[in-house]
Amino acid sequence: MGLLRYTLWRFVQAIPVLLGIVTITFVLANQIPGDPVEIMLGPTPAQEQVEAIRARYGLDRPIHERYLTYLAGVVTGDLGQSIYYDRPVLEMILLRLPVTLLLMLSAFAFAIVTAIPLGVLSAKRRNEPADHVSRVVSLIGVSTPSFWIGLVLIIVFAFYLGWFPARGLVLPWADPADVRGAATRLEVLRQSVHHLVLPMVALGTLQMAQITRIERSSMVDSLQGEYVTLARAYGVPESTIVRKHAFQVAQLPVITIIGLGLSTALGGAVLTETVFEIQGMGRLIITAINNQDYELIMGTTLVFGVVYVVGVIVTDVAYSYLDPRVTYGDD
Amino acid sequence: MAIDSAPTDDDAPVDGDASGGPDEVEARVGARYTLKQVRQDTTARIGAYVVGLMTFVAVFAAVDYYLLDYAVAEAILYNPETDPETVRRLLPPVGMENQFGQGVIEHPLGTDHRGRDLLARTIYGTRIAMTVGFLATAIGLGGGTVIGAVSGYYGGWIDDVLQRVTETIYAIPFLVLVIAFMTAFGRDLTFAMVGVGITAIPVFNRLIRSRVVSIREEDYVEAARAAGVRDRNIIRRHVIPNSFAPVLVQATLQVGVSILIVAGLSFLGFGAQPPTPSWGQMLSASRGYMLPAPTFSIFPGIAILITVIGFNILGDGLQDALDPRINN
Amino acid sequence: MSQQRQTGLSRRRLLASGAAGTSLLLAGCTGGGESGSTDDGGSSEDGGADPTLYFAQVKGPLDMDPVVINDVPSGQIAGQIFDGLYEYGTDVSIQPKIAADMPTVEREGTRYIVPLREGATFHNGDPVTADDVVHTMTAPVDEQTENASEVNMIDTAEAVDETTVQFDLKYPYGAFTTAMVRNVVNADVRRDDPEAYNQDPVGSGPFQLVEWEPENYATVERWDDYWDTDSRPAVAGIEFDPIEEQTTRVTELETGNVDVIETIPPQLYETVEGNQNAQITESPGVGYYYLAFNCANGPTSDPRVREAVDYCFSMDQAIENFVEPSGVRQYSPYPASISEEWEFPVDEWASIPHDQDIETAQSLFEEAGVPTDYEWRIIVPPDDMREQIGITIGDGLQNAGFENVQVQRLDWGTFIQTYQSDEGPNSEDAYNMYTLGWSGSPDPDAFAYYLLSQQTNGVTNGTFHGYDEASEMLTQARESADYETRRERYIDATTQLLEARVHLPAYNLNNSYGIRNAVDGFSAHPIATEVQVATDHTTVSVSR
Repeated sequence: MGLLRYTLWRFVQAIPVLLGIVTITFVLANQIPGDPVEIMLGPTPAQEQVEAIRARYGLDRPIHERYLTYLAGVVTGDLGQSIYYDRPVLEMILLRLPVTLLLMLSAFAFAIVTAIPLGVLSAKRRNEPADHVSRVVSLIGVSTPSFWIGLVLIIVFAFYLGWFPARGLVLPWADPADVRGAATRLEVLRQSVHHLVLPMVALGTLQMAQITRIERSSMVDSLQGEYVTLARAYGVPESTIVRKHAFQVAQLPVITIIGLGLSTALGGAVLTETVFEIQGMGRLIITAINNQDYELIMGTTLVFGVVYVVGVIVTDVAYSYLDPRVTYGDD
Repeated sequence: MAIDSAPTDDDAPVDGDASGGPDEVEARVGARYTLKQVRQDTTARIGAYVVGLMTFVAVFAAVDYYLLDYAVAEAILYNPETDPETVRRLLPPVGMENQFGQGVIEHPLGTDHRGRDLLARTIYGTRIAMTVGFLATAIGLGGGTVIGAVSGYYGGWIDDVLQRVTETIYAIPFLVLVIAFMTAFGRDLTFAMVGVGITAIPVFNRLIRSRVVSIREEDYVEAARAAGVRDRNIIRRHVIPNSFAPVLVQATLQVGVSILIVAGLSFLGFGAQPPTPSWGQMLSASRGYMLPAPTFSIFPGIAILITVIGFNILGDGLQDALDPRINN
Repeated sequence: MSQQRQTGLSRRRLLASGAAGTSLLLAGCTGGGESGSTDDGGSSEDGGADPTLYFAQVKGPLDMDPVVINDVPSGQIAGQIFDGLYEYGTDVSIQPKIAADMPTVEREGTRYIVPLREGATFHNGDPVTADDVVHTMTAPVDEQTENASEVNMIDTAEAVDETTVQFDLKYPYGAFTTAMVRNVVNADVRRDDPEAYNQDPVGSGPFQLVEWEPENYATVERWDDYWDTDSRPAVAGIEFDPIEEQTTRVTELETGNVDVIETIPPQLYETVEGNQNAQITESPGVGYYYLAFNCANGPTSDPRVREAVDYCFSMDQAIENFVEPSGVRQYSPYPASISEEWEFPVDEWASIPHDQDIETAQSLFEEAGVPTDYEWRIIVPPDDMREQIGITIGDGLQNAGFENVQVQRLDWGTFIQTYQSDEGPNSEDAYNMYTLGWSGSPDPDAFAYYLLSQQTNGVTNGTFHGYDEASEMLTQARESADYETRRERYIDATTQLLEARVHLPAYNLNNSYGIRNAVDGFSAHPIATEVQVATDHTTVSVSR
């Protein structure tokens, strides 16, 4: 099956997956005891008010009707109205998504930029001191909860040393007028980086450590593989071997880890956002759940779901592109 | 996908035969062999000790909690769940001092924000961590293996459907899943366990599936099928035993991962409910006191770190030991 | 003059966020300043001659339109941008602002006539007229907004002329003046597009809104043409940023990155006070935290049993251990500010609760016939302090020999569902007692009626008690417009209900603020939404 066809076929298959996501979330969200309006209003003497607000949000209609209305809305791009924020869900998502994406991408960049060279180095210098240090560091990295790393970073670098801010993010494209202590775009950028450092490290450490380990073990494998041995026998210089033969093949499992890590990264983002008080998608989801804001729950879940599904498809396609041994679909 | 990479299998025999003989050769990675390998590798041994210690502590804690109602804890240390009568809050570890007082020997690691002994709570937190870790991994292992095996072996539309179904479940950010689950059905630890277990399924699913996909191409499997051996038996006798090694490795590592995940859930308030001690929840409570009592934040984190490192080292050791290619 | 919108009768968000940040809805909102995030240490540059005040709230705002506002942070900010029809002074006394004078009450408390002052204008130049006032007070019910219950006693509101408004109520309501402590909106602009009004409000207050983002930040700047020349601000603007994490909040105060922080938890008092550059100002809020009994079903329906429970533990000790110094012991449903204003017999009420006396407790339990294997069920909301009170009582019961005591911490959703009821009293299996809190407007009615009147059984009152006479007195007090009558009724009814131990009053929380020494003129107000920066009796200034 050609690669293009395969890709398209996967995207087609994504549709029932997304539908499944929406449905499951819808069912779960509606299982939650309590009523969002009552939670919002607290104990209120005016029962008619509760009824009126519920009617306003369409909560008084039967569940299957709400479900279908919601689906119809999604198709046209209307994700409904958030009960808690009293704004369109889409608006809240667009407000928060860039923040989370910024966080995740920088953590990801940090992980890759640090891990791949480290892993390759570790593989080349197998069993030497450099390797041992790197292995210990990455071992600790995969064994430490990310939120604890965040807490410790805050205590040491923000409270005691005062080198970095303890909370919040500054978006690099923000207007200098909105950012305190910034007169120019450059200063906004500087502040942005300054605020990103700690959360980025906290979130990215796990991935960094994972990638380092995989990279190392994968490179070790491929450096001992058949055609590397052959290339060596032919006298091909080591650096070329590493670069050309070993490296590419070694990336397969790395890519899979990255792809699979996307979903965990989203979970990690929630924790990091909580620890660093960053107003992103992660906290939006939790606020939504805690307040039973049905449409917000579904909107945010859908967005995450889409991101994840796309990530999986990309990973699988990349994998099958890079590894000619694996065929997908019919033989 | 698992740690192991290229899916060749040196364990496969040269000629295929669906009856008795080749089974021994294929499934040579048995328990005895594994143990021997572990004993030989130092780091794996260390990992095994750590895991063993934590398991022991967890079992001890569980027995004391369920059967004895914290009798042992009260005799030796302190009851980790109840607040003491004389409230000494946020004490530092023995030998240190902070604005709340001097550390005392009765509370070697200090006390938490309600005056409860940190050492006792850290020890008893092991119960939650290990229980969830093991059970969640078991769920993931069971579910993932079945789905992956069937999916990989049959291929075609079965494969597609199964893979898409697991994707659907996995695509919902697991936090949403677990939190919604728990809010809907009660903040019971059981649901946290199931939730974390569900997140482990795709890991084993992919692992098994890729093994199966490569194994099914092997000659002996073709031969078995030609000989009329039933699919089920082929899966059972050839595929699964051949995957034993990587699965064991992955399972070991997955326990560590599960512990991290449940710590995160507890941190957010969706794990074990107070007053039951759990590391993540202790860390969450420590947040408010990071300035005046930073030591409160240290110990539960270290506990998690040590436990998970133990599993990771053991898993690494197992992998090195059981994967013949590395040992050159 | 700064604005307050009255806190109203049901403040779920106040209950949940708590005046002292010890209970953090673990995954709650806030935090993450994109703008106004702090620079590295030191003070910042401010434009103009007067500096900007940097204020760290606990949570960020959700709305800016007084017609829909239903949470404390939003109320604090809106108070700067709007003027109220009436407003609070330094305590809970009420004074006219847009109104020219106190209202005239007619028709046995069902008609209130309010004269308006002339000369008040909105930021866009529109004069503040009777129409604006009418819209302000009727829009919530018309649009069924979240805070509609604060004004739903209004039957009709009419602009008699440009400077007089007449309110006809559905029933006589003595506390109506408190309901009129409400921010006045620009009716014309708002009616045009209410949603846009929430994003870009037009008020008549000393500050104008520059920009804001939900849960994130809000900036206001001084309005130089403010019509009330006695209340001009001494600061060029205020920047509100939420810092959810208490430790971070305190650190920001220490480093001087913010000038004022809200809500200091008890463990950090020393840290703030130890800092030479900052101090704490606090005031007990208008709140009430208590233990309530199921008076209809189960052993707690017997007053002897309730008294026995009282003997099982010492509430004084529990409050000392777990609440102070961020809160104070309270012996009645009324916070100190109300008790003072109404001269309630606090000493008498303070002598009602018993000290711990297990033996007497046990004999009372025996007398009432409660078996020692009875399964007690105490439900508590997701809040550490209230849970702690529940646990203390549970421990007390265990000390008295009961083995099966369960203290259950429920989610808000579940908790509300459990103690509310459409079908009459809740069974003893649902709960024998619960701990809860309440915040209200500074009128006794806001507390007594909603928590102790039979009229509110199953809605805000989960006791289902049978003290008809006391309940009747509460209704009378509610309806009368006469201070003396009301006062008498409240005293009688409350004393009866406290002696019958329908509630065991526990504590009240302080509104606490940390302020840097450079800030002058700021003090804590009993009402959480009152952040008084520019009024005719307070002007806050900052020296940099």
